[in-house]
Amino acid sequence: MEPFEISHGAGFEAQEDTPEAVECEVVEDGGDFRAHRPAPADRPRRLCFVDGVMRIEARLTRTGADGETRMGLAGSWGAGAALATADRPVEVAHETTGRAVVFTGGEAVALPRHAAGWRWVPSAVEGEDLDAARGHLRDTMRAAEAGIAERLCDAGWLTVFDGPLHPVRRGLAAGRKAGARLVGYVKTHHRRMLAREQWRMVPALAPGERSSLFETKVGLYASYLRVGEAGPWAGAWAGIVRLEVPAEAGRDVATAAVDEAAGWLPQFAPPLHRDARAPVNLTPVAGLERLLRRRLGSPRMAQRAVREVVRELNQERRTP
Amino acid sequence: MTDAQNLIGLVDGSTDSDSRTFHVVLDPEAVVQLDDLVAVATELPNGRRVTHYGIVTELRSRLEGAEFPSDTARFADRTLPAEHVRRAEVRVLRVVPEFFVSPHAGSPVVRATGEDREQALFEDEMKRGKLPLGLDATGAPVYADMRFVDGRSGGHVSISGISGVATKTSYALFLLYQLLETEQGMELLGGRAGRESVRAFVFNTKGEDLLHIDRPNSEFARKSGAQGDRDPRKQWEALGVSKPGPFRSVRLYAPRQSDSAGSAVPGVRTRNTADVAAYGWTPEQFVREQLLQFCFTSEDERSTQVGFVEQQFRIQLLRRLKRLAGDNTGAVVIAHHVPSHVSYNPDRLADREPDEAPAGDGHLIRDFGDFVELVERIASEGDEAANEWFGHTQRGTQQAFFRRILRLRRHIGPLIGCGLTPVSQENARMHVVDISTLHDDAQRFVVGALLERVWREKQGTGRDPLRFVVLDELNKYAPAQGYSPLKELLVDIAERGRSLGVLLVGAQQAASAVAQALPRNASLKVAGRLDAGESDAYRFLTTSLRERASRFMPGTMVVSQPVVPEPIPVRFPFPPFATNSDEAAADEVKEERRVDKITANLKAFGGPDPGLGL
Repeated sequence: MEPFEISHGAGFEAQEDTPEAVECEVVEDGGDFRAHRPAPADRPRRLCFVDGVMRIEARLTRTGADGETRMGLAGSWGAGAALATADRPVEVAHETTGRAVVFTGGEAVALPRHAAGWRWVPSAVEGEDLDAARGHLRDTMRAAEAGIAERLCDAGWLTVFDGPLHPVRRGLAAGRKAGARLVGYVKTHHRRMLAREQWRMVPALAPGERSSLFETKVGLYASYLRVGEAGPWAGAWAGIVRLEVPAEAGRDVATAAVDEAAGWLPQFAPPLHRDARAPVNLTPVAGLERLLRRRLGSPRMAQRAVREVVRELNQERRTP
Repeated sequence: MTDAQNLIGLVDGSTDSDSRTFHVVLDPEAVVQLDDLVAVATELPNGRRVTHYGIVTELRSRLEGAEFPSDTARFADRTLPAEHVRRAEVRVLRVVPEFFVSPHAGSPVVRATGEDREQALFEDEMKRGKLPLGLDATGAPVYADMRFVDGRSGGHVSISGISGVATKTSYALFLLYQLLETEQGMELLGGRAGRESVRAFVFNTKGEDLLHIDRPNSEFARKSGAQGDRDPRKQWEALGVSKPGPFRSVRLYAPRQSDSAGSAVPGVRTRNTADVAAYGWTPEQFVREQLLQFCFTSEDERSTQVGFVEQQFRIQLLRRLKRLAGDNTGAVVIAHHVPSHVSYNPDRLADREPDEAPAGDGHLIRDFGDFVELVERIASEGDEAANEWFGHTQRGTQQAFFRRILRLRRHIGPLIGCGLTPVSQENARMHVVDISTLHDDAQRFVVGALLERVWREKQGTGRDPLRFVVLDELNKYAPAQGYSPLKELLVDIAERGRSLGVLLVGAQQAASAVAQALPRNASLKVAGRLDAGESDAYRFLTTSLRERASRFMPGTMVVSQPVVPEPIPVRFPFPPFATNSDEAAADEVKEERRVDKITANLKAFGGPDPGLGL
């Protein structure tokens, strides 16, 4: 059984024989695919988790003078970090949030400021696809996440970035710096990434064990880790995550970072009842997301605010 | 009002505030405890500003972001981010100016100090004097409006709490001490002359404890010098009393020794008999003050016709009352025959000065035993005499009356006799009457007889001079159920006493056991440690305070007074006067040593015979 709750999709969707399947090269253990159990480490001294949330709060349309109707959305995003240290409770820092109104058709629409303080940054995407607008909102969030990750990385934190590194790499100068310890944390598996026989060995990892490092086609080192036990009803891949490290950091740094992360992260895996995506959705990340969502404010209040400013806008149009 | 140093937090916006209660999200640095006083300024949409003053009634703490109890361990284990949030529940004491709105959510909340504190506790309204009720948690005094203490606007104090730890009597003495013995008290009572006319009657019901209040408390000296605000001397100083000491104007009374019939030696063990006056009533006083009614105070007697018999008998005694010729010790002769024109109105009869008569004219009464004999004789004389004396009552009722009188001989007997003097009101402000050695019946008799006299004397004199009466175990004298002359008297005092200047400081273990009129008419309602099961009867306390009161330590009381809408917990300092023989005895030893030392010094200083040297 898939451990994720239905609304969260599935953690494992990788068919063995699909065109997306890639076969990456194992770069550790002389090319052999093996299980590693990093030596148990002390409490993390400076470990942080960076994550973001986004929410679409209203769908909009705008009918221009030419009679053409374009679609858009109003939404919000937030990003921040949960800092875990050896001597203090986990602390949320660097939170940042924003609101945006994104329209398709290449023409931005500004919404007036709302009296209660709501404001939206206008922007536009080319084409007619609303998904592109959604993507723009996501990119805004990711840019903020990347900025936070970079700052923490520079400050010497072992930075666990929730999600694949690939989409944010352009904004991440830190990832390319030598010695930087940045680890992408991927919870879902969409395609096979190893040769078939190595791929079949991954579920054999015991909790706390990681696989040999392999190099992806996009300049990352990666390793599979069973971060927690998913229960006797769960599928073979439940509880397995992929750790990614920018290849620019160098293989030694990458190995050290992956070892360190693999040693520490299992203690942050939640028990099954605690989270809809347990055990892979790490507790600090879940806490951070909940806090960020709260920072975004009530979705109903946001919707009401959009309604009020759009009414204002429409009235202005009708009474020129 | 808003200064950063006093800021303790913000009015919680995640939950409703109303005009009586609001919550404060505490600043991470703020240290706030129960009973702290706070203030919030709110600007109304019309530009008007109001300030809410309140008292912290509960404090709460939680981890925001923790959903399950087990999340707490995750927070402690440093895996779950969560925020520690502390909140204070505040009950509104006052809104200035009086404009009833709720404080705005999100407004800054400051600690109420200085003028703010005075406003919060209505001190600015107490223009006609204020009596300290104790110290709050910060060591600052809390006051009562004197108008509600001395009868001008209200009077009477009701103190509840379980015995032993509630320190009810100590609190009553604490209040009296401040009124009768301190400079401030003198001012409150209208200067020296005003104070000198005030009398307080205190009934001692436990051991001989209160027979020592005129002596310094040796424990007090030992406790003084304790660290910080635990030093009682500093606490008294905070109350404005710079030299706490024993009660200085005191008279002590005890019943005479039971084995000393005929003499008047007080029955005390822990005090010199010379320091204590024996009290009692002469037969004449017994008859003229109609004290017989206070012999019949138990509930079972009052539900039958016995009360009627007592009334008839009492009137007959008055009608036939003669003084024994040539006697000045209070012996009376109850005449065999009485002319029919003599009134039946007991009060008119009592006011009349009795004629003298020789012993042969009737039944001579020198003590309570003689009363019993009189009743015996009447009973033996047959129906005619019985009807004359007891009214036309059933034989069985008359016998019940007789049995009762017989039983009382042992209990009340020693209190009645020739040459005895009742508790006087002379020569001292404070009169301590020991009733601890008496049987319940006799205790009720003494309380009834004394209160009756105080009450009678105050009829028509107006409020001044004030009379305070401290009475513990009020439920014994004015129980919630039933009827008795004593209960009627106490209810009367409770209802009319404040305008006549008779002020009752009553104490009881449980307010529910006392006639409702008493606690209801008390302006100051005080509770010490309450019995958890009983706390239902204390409506003047909030639920949380009632629960808290079941855990109060000695010395902590909660006081409710008319002007302040919420009851305020206070502590009162350790007494500088002895409240039992142990506290006083130790001091006597010290006194002796001191005297010895002085004598020795004198000898050393003045040579072999200092007296002759002058």
